[in-house]
Formats: sequence, C-alpha cells, structure tokens
Amino acid sequence: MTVRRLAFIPLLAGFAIAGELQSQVPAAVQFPRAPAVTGMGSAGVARVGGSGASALNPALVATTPRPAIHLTFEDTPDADVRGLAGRAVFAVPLGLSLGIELHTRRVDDLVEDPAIDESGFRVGDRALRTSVGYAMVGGRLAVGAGMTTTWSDVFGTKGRATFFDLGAVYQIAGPRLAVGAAIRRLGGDLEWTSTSGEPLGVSIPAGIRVGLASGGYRLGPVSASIAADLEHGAELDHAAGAVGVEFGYRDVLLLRAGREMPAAAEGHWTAGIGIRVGELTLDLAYEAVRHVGVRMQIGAGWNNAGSAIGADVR
Amino acid sequence: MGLAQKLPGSGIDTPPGVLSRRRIPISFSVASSGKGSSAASTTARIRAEGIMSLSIDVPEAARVTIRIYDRTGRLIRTLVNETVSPGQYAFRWDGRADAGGPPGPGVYYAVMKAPGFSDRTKLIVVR
Repeated sequence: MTVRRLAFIPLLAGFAIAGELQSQVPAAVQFPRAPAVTGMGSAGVARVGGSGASALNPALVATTPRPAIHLTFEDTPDADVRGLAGRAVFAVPLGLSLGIELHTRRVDDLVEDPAIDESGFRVGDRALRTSVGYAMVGGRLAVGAGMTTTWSDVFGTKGRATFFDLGAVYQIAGPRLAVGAAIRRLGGDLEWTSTSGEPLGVSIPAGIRVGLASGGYRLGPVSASIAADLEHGAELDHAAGAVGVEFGYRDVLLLRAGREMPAAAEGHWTAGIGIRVGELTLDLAYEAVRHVGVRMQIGAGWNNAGSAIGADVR
Repeated sequence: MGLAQKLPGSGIDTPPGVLSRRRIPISFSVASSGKGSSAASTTARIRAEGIMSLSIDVPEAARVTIRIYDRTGRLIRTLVNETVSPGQYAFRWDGRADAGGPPGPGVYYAVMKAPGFSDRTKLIVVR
C-alpha cells in the first residue's frame, strides 16, 4: 500500500507549562563529549588521559597531559543543530589540574519564510564546565570535582542550571586497567523564566556512573583499548550505558567504534577516527542519534605529550 | 486515537472531537527536517492557545505513527500509532510527556511515519 501524500502540518504553540515535570535529564543541559570520547560510544568515566570525558568524570583532568587545548565543531544537519566547544586543561598550584570547557550550540532554520523576521526566534544553549582534579598514590588514583552552569534561550524563555559532579579514577593494574566512578548532576535544577517573568523549575536527576577502561594491548604496531560505562540514578527512569573500542596503528591512526544507550532513549552506534602527529591531534566522530539524525564532530587539539598522550588506558 | 480530530471542510466523515481552525496571530513556515524526502511542505504556526496540532492528510488507509522526541532522541510522547482510514486528521499535543508532566521548554521533533513515508518537523515549546 502506498501513501501518495501525507501533508504534515504542525501548529506550534506557546505552552503554558505547569505541573510536575518528568524526571529525566533535560536535553538543554546535555552537551556532547569530545569526539575522541563520542567515537567510543561516550564510554569514558575511566578513560585515563582523556580530558574530553571530564563531563563524565572530573577526576580525568588530573590524568591529562598539561597543558592541553581542544576545539570541537559539531553539526547535526537533519536537526539543524550546530555547536562549538572549547576545552583546556592547565596545571595550577598545589598540584591540582584545572579543566575548563565552554560549549555553545543553537538550532537553526526555525523559520523558513524569508518575509518573517527571524531575529526573535532563537533557540540555543551555552555551558561552562570547570573541573578540578588531583592525582595521588603515585598518580594511580585521581579525584576531582566539577561544576557546570548552563544557559538556555527558547524564544525568550531563559533557562539556567548549575550542578556539580564528583569523581575518581583508579588504575588497578598499572596502565592496563582502570576503574572510574562519578556522582553526576548533584544539586541541579533547571530554572526557566518566561518573558513575563514567570518561573518554572525542572528537576535534573542525579546519577551514579561507573565504568572501566582497559588498554595498552599491543600486537606489533597495532594497539587496542576498550571502555564501558553504566549510569543509574534513583530518580532516573532508566539506566544508561556505553561501550566502545579503539584500535591504534603506530599511535598515529586511531579507529573507534561504540554503542551508546542513553537513558529512556534508543541506543545508537558511534564511530570515529583520530590522527595524532606529534603534539597535535585531529579527531572525527559520528553518532547516529535515533530520530534526531547523524551528529558529526570534528576536533583539533594540542597537548604537551604528543602521541604518548596520557597513559595507555585512554 | 483519543487525540485525533477531523479537520472541518474535508468532506470526510468526522471522528469525534472536531478541531476547529482558528485565526492565528503569527504564522510562518519552517523547513521540514526530512529534507529531500517526498514530504509535502511543512507549515508551522504559532498561535496563542497552548495546544499544538499536527495535521495529516491520508489518501489511503495506512498505519500511521506520530511520535515526539527531544533533542537527545528520547521519546517524549506517542500521539498516534494505529491504522487510520483515508481523510484529514489533526492530532493535538498538549505539551505533556507520556510519563505525565511537561518536558520543559525547548526544541522537539515530531516524527511521522507511514508505509513509504517519513517526515519530521521541529516543534518549539515555550512558555
């Protein structure tokens, strides 16, 4: 049976939102990880040396070569969502590591009619994440804390949230195996304020994320790493999971693949490629987010450890 | 199909709960996210009331699904998932999730699927 034509005509509405909000992490406060992490299904709570996963575990900034900077552009063409992220990790006094992330993204093409002034129809989000980490026990144990503040704008309705993360990562068997854990999104509410000044609070459920990463396996010029995460929270309706693998060739070319299973959403596959030349890195990642479209990320960075970034568990 | 409502003037039998079209203060078109598909043009309009209407024109009996997702791909609401007879229908979304409460302001994607057809459009929820 063929459907010849289905005219799909939505009418958009300004909702008067009231009542109890569902307990899921609002999309406005969720930002993608760095492409090196995305390519592995966003499994990264125990990825030593991977500051791009500090949103999952702030302790990871203490395992990252310092200084390091990274810039990422992301695009989801089917959803008209584009964003930019910058990350930097520095050494600061008292043996601490400081990680700073800035994100901005927006949804485009909200209005197709060129006769209509689109300037008032904006949807976008920004985020600032600060992570502080400290390495101890000969560098095998790292602990960290992070604070994230997000700002959203939906046609003049402003949203703001601040929440905290605590994390630790421990290398159990030298460079071969690490375990990580983080308590995420503590104390967070997304507070919306309408153009009329009316407030609305959206709960951001906290969660506990645990995971492991194993790497340093080498066969000639080929290396391999794996990572897996599991996240759950009492207020979350569903658990989230992620698993990924990475294969390297001479520590220059890296191929990644993974599967991310977000809470209350269908799982999707991810893939990525990385190139490391000296102190420079170039990463590309794709993730096929169901019902939203393929998200592409491309990132370039520099760190002071060159191709030997971090430990063997990444 | 509790939310289905027949658009007036279609000349086809009207299911319960007719949704009357009203004058709207602002109207504009938005691009369908299903660019390149065989979808008919997608029109979006803002109106003062707090109900969102998604209208379909079904020339033949077809199993139709309309689901609403957020930007992470999380299912927010299933508006319809059943076989409908030929005609024009409007499905109303009151801005609430299947779980009960409203999901909050933001961009959502309404995805409509029928045999041989798939289309998607943005829905903007504001306050």
